[in-house]
Amino acid sequence: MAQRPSTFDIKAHQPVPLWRDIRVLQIVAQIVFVIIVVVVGAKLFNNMMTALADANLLPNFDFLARTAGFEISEGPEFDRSETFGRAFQVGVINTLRVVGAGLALATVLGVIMGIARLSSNWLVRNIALVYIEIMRNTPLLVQLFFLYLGVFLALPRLREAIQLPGPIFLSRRGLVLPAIIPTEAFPIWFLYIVVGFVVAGFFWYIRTKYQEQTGHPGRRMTYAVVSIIGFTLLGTAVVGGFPFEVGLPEISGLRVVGGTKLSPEYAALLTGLVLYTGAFIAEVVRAGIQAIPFGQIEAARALGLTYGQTLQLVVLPQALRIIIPPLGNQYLNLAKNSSLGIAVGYADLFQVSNTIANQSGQSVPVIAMVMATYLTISLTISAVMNWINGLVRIKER
Amino acid sequence: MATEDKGLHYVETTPPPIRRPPVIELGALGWIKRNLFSTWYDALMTVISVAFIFFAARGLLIWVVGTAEWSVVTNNLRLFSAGRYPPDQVWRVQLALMIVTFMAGISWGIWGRMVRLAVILIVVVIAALFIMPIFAEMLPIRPIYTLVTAEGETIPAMAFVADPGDEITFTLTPVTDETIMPVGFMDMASRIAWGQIELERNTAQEETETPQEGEGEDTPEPAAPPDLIVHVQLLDANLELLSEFEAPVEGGEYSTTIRLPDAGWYLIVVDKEGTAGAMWMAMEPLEPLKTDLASETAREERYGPVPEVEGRRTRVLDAVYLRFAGVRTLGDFISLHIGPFAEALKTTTLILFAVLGFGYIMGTLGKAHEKLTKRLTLIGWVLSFPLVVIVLRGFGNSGWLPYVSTDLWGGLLLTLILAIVGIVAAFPIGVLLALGRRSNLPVVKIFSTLYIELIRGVPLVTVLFTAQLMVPLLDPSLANVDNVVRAMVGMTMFSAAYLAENVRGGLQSIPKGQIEAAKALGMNDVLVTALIVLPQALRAVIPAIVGQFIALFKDTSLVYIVGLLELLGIARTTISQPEYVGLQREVFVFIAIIYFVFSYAMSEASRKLEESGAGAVRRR
Repeated sequence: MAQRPSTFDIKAHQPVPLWRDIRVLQIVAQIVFVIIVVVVGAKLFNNMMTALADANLLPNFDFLARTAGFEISEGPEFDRSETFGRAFQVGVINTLRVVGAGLALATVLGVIMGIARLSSNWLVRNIALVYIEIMRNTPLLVQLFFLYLGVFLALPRLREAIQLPGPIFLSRRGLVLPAIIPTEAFPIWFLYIVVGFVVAGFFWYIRTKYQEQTGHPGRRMTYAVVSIIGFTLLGTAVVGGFPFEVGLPEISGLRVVGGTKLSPEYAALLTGLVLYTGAFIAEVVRAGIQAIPFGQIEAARALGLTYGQTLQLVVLPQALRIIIPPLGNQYLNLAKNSSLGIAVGYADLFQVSNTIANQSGQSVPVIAMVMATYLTISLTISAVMNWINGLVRIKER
Repeated sequence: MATEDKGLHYVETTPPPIRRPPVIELGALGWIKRNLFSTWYDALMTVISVAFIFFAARGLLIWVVGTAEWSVVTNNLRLFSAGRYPPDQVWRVQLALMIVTFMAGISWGIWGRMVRLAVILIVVVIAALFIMPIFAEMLPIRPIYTLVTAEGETIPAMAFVADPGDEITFTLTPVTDETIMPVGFMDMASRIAWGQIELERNTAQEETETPQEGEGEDTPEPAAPPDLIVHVQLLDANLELLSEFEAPVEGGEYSTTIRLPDAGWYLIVVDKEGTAGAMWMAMEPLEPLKTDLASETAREERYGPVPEVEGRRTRVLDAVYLRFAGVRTLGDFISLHIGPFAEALKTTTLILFAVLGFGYIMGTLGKAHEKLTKRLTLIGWVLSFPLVVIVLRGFGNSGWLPYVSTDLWGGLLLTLILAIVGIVAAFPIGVLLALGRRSNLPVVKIFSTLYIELIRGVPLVTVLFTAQLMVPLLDPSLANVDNVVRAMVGMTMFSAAYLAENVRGGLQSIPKGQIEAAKALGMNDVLVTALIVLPQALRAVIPAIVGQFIALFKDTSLVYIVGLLELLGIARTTISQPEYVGLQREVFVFIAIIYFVFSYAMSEASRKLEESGAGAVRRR
């Protein structure tokens, strides 16, 4: 028998030399990578600082306390004697104003259009298709310019404003809607509503439990809706009427009195964002619903579920699971696209920062602040969407 | 069951009756019932939709055919296609376009096949390009109108060009209470004056309808009887009188035709006498908006300088001075807009189609040596990119390819270049970032993830802005880099992050067994990645990359914000020219159509690619 090398042979277990040890190699590779990144980064940073120092513009954040010297006519009150820091704040608020309204309206429009895209009616289906294709295949910026210069600024002058029922006034100076002003009794009324929702949540929980345990229909939706409506009515009765005053706008001469005014810039940006993102959301919704195999719906019907129950218990939970992640992407896009407000002169974060950078000369810190703000908005939206996604995820037991 | 068979066999001798197959296809009525009126709310929605479509289509048609001023598009086609690229060098843009078209034709020949729809489309486009100008020539041109009023200011001398033998007919019509605004070209002063007349007419009508109670003191004086006499002189370029005539308002309609002897400029000088009355003066057939001579410089090149009267340039009857008044008919639309547009595009489009067809034939012939041709085509594509850049940019001081700074690139050319550079330059960076993000070296992984998430969390405008601002600061040698290159850097940085995420998706779709198998064969990490993982991963993400290219193509419009003149920037400069003020809708609709055609075509192609399975060959 040939002699096999002993497993205890020292030679076979000589340590791997350092230059062939994968762990060492990995560490060395990372160190080299870090050195390259640091050296190149430091060189570029150094160059940048020298260039900025030559221009006497070394970055610092002192300018935030200096007087702005420009005006912002959009959003919260701001005049030229306030600071750059406050101007930046106003910009952030304006961005949030348009993003918040945009998210809500785009979702509504997108869901409607996505469902219309699946309608059994040929005309409805194709109108939705044309809308989606036009919006998706042209740049948002072109749409914004068209809306702003071709629609909102082409409206008649205030004196000849178009009056829609409401009354809503449409003119070159923007949109005027009736204002809804809460009265003093509003907090009490609001408390009743909150209680209504809490009770509804409670019913929802116990009726679901009941349905799961006994198999009898729990009618949780009915219970919840009835409790919300009931408490709303109760609150209204206690307060004595709805605690709102409607401020109707009125045109007197060259200005509008009362009502909520929306500038043409805000209206154009909001409309553009909603129409554009709505088309993308419609595609997301359509894909989500179409991904449910038809057999699921047939099976639900065969089990005797009503149309509403099929939708609520079978289709929506599964479709939502598919819809939420891409929907979150669209929300992020909407938030980021709001920076295009600069094209229509809307005083949002980006436009105001641009002015600040020009006035103060501190471009580098301003750009850093802008990026950090957008990053915060983006991360917040994705955190919320991740949380919602967790709620609708398949609960594995 | 088994009853006894008594040998009575029954054989049917007559053939069974022929029955029609069951009706599966619906007739037109059945289709309508099923798709439009299946339930009552379906019917309701159909009715609402029909009403919506009717009003939307009607409004759109009236605008497109009747009132929109498309001359702003036709007259600026060169700007839209190449921006401020030197006009005498535009052939280079066309050459670059031909190179790309030829490569596209070859690729189509090898990988695709002639679809009937594409053939029909090409034939229709060619036919339209030929027929429309001919059709437009046959249609009469509307006259030019000037309103001469006794009260109004004197009408400035008007200049126009003519060729020998042309005739011009003047028709003067007195304005009565029944006269309506004529349809044709008109100067601004006439429009305003006419608006005044209509206003007076309306107020007079209202007064007669609601007679005032306190009659007597402020009864308007009866208008003076019209006594206007219009005196027209026709001068040639040397200000010598050719012909003149007088038309009194009492004389009713007056018409005269004058033959013009030479090619060159002519002047119309209008004088008037009298205290009341107005007359419309129609001049025809003049072609003030001839496309090939639309700009004043083009006219001056052919006919010499615009004549001067008393040391001042005269008004020229052209697009600056005249606008079409009233709602156009379909005929006017074709002769004024479609015809010239087709004429302007004809040559280039035909050459491109020819090149495309030639490429296609080459491609199909190349199928005999399929592997070789495919390889050559890929090399051709790779080479065509620097070739196009060389053709467009030129050399420092060569005679036939003079240097054209990227600052002068613009229009659709710049849009396409930015999109292509954005995806091509971002490709290697994106792949590296994707590999980095999946690397098991924590430092590399963190760095890649940070970069990707940072870029994906901020808007493209801020990235473009940063690039605009930072690139010159980063290195002294970069201080004078022009705007276009800075924008390219921004686009590349941005799209690399998105591309990395797409590629990462592809990398994740590779089964682990593939890597293990490769390692078992003794390949090291680099070889596994380069030969096993990447080829499969990249093939799987082709559709996603096409989708990203479309998004990037649309996003190039954002470089307008940092001051570049790509398609959108050109659109904005066009509408800021004095003669095109107020034509934003036409311009934006036009560029929206360009964007739409490109992105829709690309997304259709990508869908085909996905269906044909080229992106998922190995997924089975």
